[in-house]
Amino acid sequence: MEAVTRQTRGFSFVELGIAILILALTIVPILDLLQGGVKGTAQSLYLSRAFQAARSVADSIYSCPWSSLDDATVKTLASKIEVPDGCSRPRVDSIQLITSSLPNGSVLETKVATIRVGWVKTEGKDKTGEVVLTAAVSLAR
Amino acid sequence: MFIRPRSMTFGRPGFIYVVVLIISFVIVIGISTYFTSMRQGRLLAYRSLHGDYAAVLAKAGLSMSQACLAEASRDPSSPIYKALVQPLETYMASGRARIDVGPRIDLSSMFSNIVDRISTDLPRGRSSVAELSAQFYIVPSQLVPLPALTVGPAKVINRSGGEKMGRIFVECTATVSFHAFDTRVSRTLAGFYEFRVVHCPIPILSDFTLFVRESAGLFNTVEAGDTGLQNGGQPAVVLGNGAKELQSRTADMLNLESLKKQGWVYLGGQNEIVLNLTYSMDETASPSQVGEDFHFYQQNPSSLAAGRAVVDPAQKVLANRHLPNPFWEVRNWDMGVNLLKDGALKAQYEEVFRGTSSGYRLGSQLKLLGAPPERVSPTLVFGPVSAGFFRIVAAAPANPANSSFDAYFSVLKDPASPSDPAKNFARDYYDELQPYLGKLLYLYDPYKSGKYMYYDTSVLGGLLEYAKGTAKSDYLKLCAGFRTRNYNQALLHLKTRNEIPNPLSHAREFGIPESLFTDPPTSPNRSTLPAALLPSAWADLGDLDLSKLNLKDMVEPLRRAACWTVPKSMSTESYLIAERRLSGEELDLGTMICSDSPLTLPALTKVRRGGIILAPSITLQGAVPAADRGILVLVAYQGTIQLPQAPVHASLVATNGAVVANGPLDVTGNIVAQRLDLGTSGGSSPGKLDYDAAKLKNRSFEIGPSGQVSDTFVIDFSRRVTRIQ
Repeated sequence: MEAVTRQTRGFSFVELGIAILILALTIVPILDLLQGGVKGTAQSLYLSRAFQAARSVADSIYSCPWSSLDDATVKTLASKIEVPDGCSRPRVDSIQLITSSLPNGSVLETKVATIRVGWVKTEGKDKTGEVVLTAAVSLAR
Repeated sequence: MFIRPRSMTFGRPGFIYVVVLIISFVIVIGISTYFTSMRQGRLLAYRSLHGDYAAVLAKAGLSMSQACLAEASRDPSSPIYKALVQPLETYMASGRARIDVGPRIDLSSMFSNIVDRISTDLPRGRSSVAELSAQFYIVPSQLVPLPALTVGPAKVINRSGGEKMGRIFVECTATVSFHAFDTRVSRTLAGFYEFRVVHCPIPILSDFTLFVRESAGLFNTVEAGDTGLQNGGQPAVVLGNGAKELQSRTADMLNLESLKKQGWVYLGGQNEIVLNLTYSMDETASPSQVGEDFHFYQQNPSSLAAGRAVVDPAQKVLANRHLPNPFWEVRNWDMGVNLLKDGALKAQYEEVFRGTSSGYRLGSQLKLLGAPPERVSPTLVFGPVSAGFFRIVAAAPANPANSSFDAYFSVLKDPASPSDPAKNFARDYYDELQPYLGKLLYLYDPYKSGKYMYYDTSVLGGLLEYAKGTAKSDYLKLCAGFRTRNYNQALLHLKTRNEIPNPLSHAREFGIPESLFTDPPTSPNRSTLPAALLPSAWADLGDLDLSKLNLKDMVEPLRRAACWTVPKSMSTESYLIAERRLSGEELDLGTMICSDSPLTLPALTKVRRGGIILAPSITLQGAVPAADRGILVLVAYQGTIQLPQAPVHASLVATNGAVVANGPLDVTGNIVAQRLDLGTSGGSSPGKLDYDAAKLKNRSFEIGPSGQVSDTFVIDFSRRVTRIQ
């Protein structure tokens, strides 16, 4: 029986090794890229969900009269928001009042509410992030 | 059988590489395509997310933009203010077209502290916000006039000038950029604010210094003694109806244009109203001179008809018609008051009043006329009014000329009531008392003599008997007591420098309707508004019968024009405080408020901005200073307006009640009321009601050639923006 030689195989093991190496060098980064892309897409999904939750809180804050906007009210508003999968319940920092005096004597009082919604999952791995959205409701006098 | 392995035709050197490369290429292409599509998807998602960030920012910008309106409402020179007070008709042609108002406003620089704060948590902080700006615009089809005011039968004031209500739109654009090389993402949101533009002086009503439907008796009577006005008596009121000027200059002020800028006076109602107003030769500006500032001028020696002693040919004919040869000359003096203690004629006064009490010497009856010259300003009086400059008419021998001077002193002491000639002592008891009449009149009964005194120059205080003087019928006719001239006619006398006995014919020269000057003052025409004095926009109100103007009918349209309504659960003061319009002794109104609860306004030390407050009744507890901007209009639509013993700068309107002075009236502005109750404890000072010409003269809205607009508009708007898609 004739020994199997490079001539009979058509390629040498060295060539095969080099080819596999080339293939690996090509595919591995591509796969990593692919994985990163998938992860990013999933991340953007949770981010979007978190953002939408935060924006829902912001919208409800904007619909609230300036005079009745206080910490208790915004907390109540935040608690009524349906929490999407993978997101934490929205939290609202204490309202900050910014007073701006304008040249002609009018005063703008702005209540600033910072809304925070965390997202917790990416591709099955635990990872946390936070969407921070700021609502500013003003009253001019 | 040996089978020779078939030689592989593809077994060329490097074949494997080709295969690997092909596979790699296919994989790379495939995965890259997949990755790219995913990346595009993510980018779209992020772009959408960033757009949402921008939208939230724009929403904050929409909310902040109200400050631009608040600022503009305080600045008549701002483009927004100017645009909003433009007459409606200027917009009507544009229909539904959008009209930008002013330039785009950079909110991020205007409110940098707020933008800094709300951008803190963005990926690049403040740098993430590339733009936050607002553009205001109006759509003419979204503007409507304020409710029309019905002021009389078929007389309606369409408030379509600068006044209006509607929506002002705002478009807010926010642009964010979360990475230095990222494409910027913008979002534009639009919304509108409801707004109202109200002209604070209420149409028509603000044209009057004084508008009263009913008087609580004789208006402006005075109780005076030798020390001036008496405590506990009814105080006098001095009306200043516009620009104040020395008497010597007021003569030149009477023309159509100046009258349009003056306040009018309407004294309606059932009672005869005596409005006393005079001027003085001694042109001083001290308020203390009220009622004590007259200096009698006999006449100009070089021109006997000059000065205040005006020869009245018509009366002279009446006085002389029974005589074969004219003997009497009838002169008219327009009088003021003099202490009669000092002055060029002091010696004469002392001679005349020797033996009389000091009270008589003061001529207190003349004090009820009191008004120093700078308080006299041309105005027009409507209604059944005996008003004007006090006039003494005296007949005396024509020669020598100065005998009329003596006659003057004979009648000086007579304050006989023009409303009750039957009390005329001279007429009733002339026959019995004729030998002593002059003396009696002079010394004991200075309140009962007649208008014409036929004075016997040889006897101090003595009168000539009929036979020597005049026919009894003429005498009785002439003995009608003192009278005040038709006020408007007196203005003509002023205009003609008191040198023309009957200046009526000159009315036309000044462009003023003659009907305003004709006697009797109770002519029905005296209650109608002359169209010639109205701005063209209100020409339809010409001939409006003021006696038919129902103030109550104006309440509902005024209420509907209000920018804000006080919640029923709150008092008006609480509301003003809660809205930070009233803070301690400072009022910053800048709007029109309607309330169902009475208003008690504390003493104020500052009024930043005027405005209109409607309340059932109003009590002012202390002074109300002049507003820095605009004018304060207080409307009591059910009860009274109680005034303090302090100066008040306001337009006071009591549509269904009285304006009650709890001390000497001291109002700068105007008064419109069913009644003016001056009380009885006025103290020793006269009250004053000065027309605030600077604020109230804006009968017609105009933007001047250099773009100035009146600051008597208030612009207010809803504090919540309504989003539109």
